Amino acid sequence: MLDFQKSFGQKPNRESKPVYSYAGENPFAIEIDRLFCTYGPKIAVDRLTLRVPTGAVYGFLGPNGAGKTTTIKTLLGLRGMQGGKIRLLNYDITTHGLEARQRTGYLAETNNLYGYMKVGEIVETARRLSSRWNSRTMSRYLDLFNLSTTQKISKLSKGMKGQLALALALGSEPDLLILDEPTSGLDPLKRYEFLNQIVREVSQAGRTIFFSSHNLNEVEQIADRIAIINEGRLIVEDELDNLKLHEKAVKVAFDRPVWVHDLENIPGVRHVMQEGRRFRLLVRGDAEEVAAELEKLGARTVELVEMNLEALFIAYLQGYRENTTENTGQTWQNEKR
Amino acid sequence: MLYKELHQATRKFFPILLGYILVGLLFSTLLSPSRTASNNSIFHNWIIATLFLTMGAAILGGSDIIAEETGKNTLSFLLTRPVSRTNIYAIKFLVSATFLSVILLGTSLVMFLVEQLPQRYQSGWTPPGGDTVYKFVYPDKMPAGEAFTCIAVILGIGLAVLALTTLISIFSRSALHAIVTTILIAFGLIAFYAFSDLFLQISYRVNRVFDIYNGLGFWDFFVLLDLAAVLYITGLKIFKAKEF
Repeated sequence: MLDFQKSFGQKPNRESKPVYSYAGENPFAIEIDRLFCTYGPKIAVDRLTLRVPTGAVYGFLGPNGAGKTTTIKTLLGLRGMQGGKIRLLNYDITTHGLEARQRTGYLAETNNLYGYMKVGEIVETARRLSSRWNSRTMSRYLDLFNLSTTQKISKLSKGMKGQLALALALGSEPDLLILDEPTSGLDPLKRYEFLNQIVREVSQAGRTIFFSSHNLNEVEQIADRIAIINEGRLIVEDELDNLKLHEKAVKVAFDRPVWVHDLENIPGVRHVMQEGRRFRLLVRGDAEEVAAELEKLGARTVELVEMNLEALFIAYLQGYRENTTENTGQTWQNEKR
Repeated sequence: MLYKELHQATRKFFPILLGYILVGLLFSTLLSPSRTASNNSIFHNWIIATLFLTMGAAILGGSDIIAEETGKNTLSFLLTRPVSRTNIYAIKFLVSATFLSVILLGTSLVMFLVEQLPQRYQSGWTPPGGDTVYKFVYPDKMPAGEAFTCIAVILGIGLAVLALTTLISIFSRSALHAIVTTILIAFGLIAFYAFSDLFLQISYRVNRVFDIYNGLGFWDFFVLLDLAAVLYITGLKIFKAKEF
C-alpha cells in the first residue's frame, strides 16, 4: 500500500512523471487536501479534504452555492486556490497542471462548444489540442451518438450538443472524467439515456468519474460513492451503500409532548427532524435498538423507513444547518455574557 | 489551437480585408483625383485613411479575442485542455497581429504600385465628346522609403492598439464592451498624441503642410512595437492570473 500522507509532506515533484509509475497503482484519482478558496471576502471552499478512489463513480453533491463548481474549477485550473493542495491522477496541479489535464476529460454544465464550427471542425480542434487523441474512438462515439461531421454545432439540439461534448471529452481516452451538472437542461428520457451512455462508456473501462449534480435520483442511479458539501465544508463522504446501510430513518409519533433533546440523546440518533406531530430520526447503526428506546419513551407508533439519497441529503443538510445555527447562537450568547 | 484560431481569424478578418479593399478602391479612383491641392497623391490619401482603418481593424480584431469566449463560455473548452495559458494568449494575439499586418502591408503595397502606374492607368474618365472629368493634375508621388516608414509607423500603432484591446478584452464579457472601452481609451491616447511629436510628424508628413520628413523615422516603429510588447506582457500576466 502506498503512503499518501508521506507524499503530501514532500516537496512538489518537479519531474513530469508522477510519483508512482502508472495511474492504476494509485488508489486515488483525486486528492484534495485542505482546499481553501475565496471570492473576495466570501469563503467558497473551506479547508475541504477529499479522496476520490481510482475507478469510482463519485457523486459530488451540495445545495446551490455550496462550493461544488468552485471545487471543480479549481481541479481543472480554471481558477486558483488560496490554500491547500490538489493532486489529480497523482500530479500536483500547481506544478503539473498540463500533465494532469492531458489525462482528464471535462464536461461543462453549460454548452462550451463553438457554435459557428461544424462537428468535424471542433473534433479536429480537440484532436490538435491533445497528444493522447484516438481518432478511432472518436469516430465510434460520433457513430454511437448519430453525429455527422458536416453538422453545424449551432443547429444541434441540446441533447446532441451534450453528446458531442461528451464525445470530445472522451476522445483523448481520459483516465478521469469530470462532469459538472452533465444533464442539466435535458428532459428525463434524454437524461436517462445520457447517463447510461456515460456509465457504459466510461466506468466500465475502469476510469474514474467525478460528477456534480442537483438531481439526486440520477446520482443514486450511477454513483457508488458520494460526498455532500455545504458552505464549502464537507458534511459527509462515504460509499452510497454504506451510508444506506448505516443510516436509517425511524418515524415516530407520541401521544404526549416530547423534548427533541430527549430524542437526540438516544444512542445512535444523529439528527431529529420534526414533521408535524411526528418525528423523523436519522439513525446511524442499529435502528431497532433506537426503536426499542423510543418505545420505552412511550411512542405511539414507531416505523423503520428505508433511506434514499434524497432523504439522506436533506437529513445531512438540515443537521448541518441546525448545528451551525446552534453553534452560532452559543457563540453569540457567550459574547453577550 | 493554431488551427482553431486561424479558422476564427479568417472569419473575423475577411470583412476587415474587404474594408481595406473598398477604401483602397475609393482612394485610387474617385477620391484621389477629385482633389486638386498638392497633397493629393493616392498614397498620401491612403495613409490618412489607413491610419484610422488600422486602428479600427485592431479594435475590432482584438475586442473579441478573449471577451467573446468568456461571454459564450467557450473559453473553458480551451482552458481545460492540455494547453498552457501562455500559449493560448500568445497564439490568439499573434494570429490577429499577423492577419492585421498582412492586410495592412499587402493593401499598402498594392496601393503603392497603383501610384507608380502611369497616370492614364490610374484614373480619369472622359465622357463621349467631353473633357476628362477625373484625373491626376498634380502627380505628387511619395518616395518608397518615406511611404513605407509611414506604413511601418501605422502598423506599430495598429499592433499597440491590438495589444491594448486584447488586454481590455480579458476584463470584458462581450466584444461590444471591449470595443467601447478601447475606443474611449484610444480617444485619450489620440488626445495625448495630438500634442506629441509623433502625431505632428505624421500630420506634417501626410498633409505636406510643412517641409516633409521632420524626424519621423523607422525607429518610431520600434518604439511603438515596445509599447505593444509592454501591453502584451501586461495582458498575458493578467490572463494567467484571471479566474474564469
